[in-house]
Amino acid sequence: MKYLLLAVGLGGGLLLALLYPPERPRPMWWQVTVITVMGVLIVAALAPPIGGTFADAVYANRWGTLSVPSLLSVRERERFRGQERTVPVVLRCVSAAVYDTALGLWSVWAEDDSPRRVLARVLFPTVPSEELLRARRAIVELEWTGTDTLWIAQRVRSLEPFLVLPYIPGLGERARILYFHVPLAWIAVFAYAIAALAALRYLRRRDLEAESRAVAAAALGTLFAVLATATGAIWARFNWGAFWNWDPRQTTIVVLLLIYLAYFVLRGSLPEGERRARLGSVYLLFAFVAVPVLVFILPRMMESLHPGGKGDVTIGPVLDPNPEALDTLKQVLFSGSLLAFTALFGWLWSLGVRVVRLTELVRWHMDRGNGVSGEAR
Amino acid sequence: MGFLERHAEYVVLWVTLVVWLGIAASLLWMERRLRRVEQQMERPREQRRFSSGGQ
Repeated sequence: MKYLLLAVGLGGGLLLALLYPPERPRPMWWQVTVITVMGVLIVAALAPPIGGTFADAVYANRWGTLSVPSLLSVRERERFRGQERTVPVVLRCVSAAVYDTALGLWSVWAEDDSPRRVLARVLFPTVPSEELLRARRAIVELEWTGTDTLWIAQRVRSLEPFLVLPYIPGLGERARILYFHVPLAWIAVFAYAIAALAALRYLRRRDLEAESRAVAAAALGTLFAVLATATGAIWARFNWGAFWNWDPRQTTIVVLLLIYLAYFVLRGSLPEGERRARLGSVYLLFAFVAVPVLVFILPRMMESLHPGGKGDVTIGPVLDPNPEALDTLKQVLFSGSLLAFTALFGWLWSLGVRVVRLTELVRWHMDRGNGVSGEAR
Repeated sequence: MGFLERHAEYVVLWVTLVVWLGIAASLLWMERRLRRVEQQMERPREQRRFSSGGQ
């Protein structure tokens, strides 16, 4: 199911992205579709509240003592042990509010939204509202008291939520970055693969269109890799303590970026013409050899804070076959984000290819004194 | 607890949506502009010279 959803997301995105050759302008319906899909993704990933179960809340407060699948890597879990105190839990009040004179708090029995309907006692500093007591589902931020069945309510976050994104112990609200960071990294690799294929095509057929495709794809791959690094650094600031940790995953992406930045330096330093196109294409082919090594092999051979490192029980949240590693709703959202970002890549690639072609054409005319630059402006 | 802290998720949502709408608008603008230039480049040179005078 998980891989089927991934295939649908990626396949749909590829279909949309490659429906027209990149040299052709995209029709209006296509542009509106991509804008809408991305807009829907942003709303679906950021608007619904996050809520978990009592078991999640216990796990978040008792790191390492319970064996529950987690999206965090082994090293990340070690670093985060005991740091999460308040956890949003989806619950339903099943008793009336009773004032506990010994504690000086209002007490309510509530069951969570899990299939087992776990019961626990929730304490409120003030009398809970009628709406909360009647609600079929409410998300309440709970603080652990040291006992798994006794919680202190900090804040009522949402009453009768339409859609709830599952809570991931250790990530909380930061889990939302998954729908932006991972597709950006995947599309960067995809763009580099397209650049290599187009470079190969140029070398075999000396087709200048293929060279324009390769340049635009390499530029976009670099842009997406920079964005993936930036979103990863924001995540790292809040999960690992600093924007930059010289983690193997961060280091290898920097090396990859340097390799591709060198391509643009090489291309910029050569006079335009067949030689520049040939050398650039050969460089792109060699550069792509480094991509699987730096993205998929090296980071998995070393201990890492990033999920999927050496000694990690999972191979990362997205590809892990364990169905509990990423639940269905999350997987649907993730597949949607893959679709949206792949389609966006298709649009940006088309614009890039056409800009590269026009630039070459204008330069060609200017070199021959045809004077088209003023008219093209 | 301030407004931004209480509604942080909605602030992030609106900021992201505004950023995306800005990117989308500039993509639409670029697409239109590029198409116009491409059409101009595809026309024969003489025709380009006459039409560019009236713009």
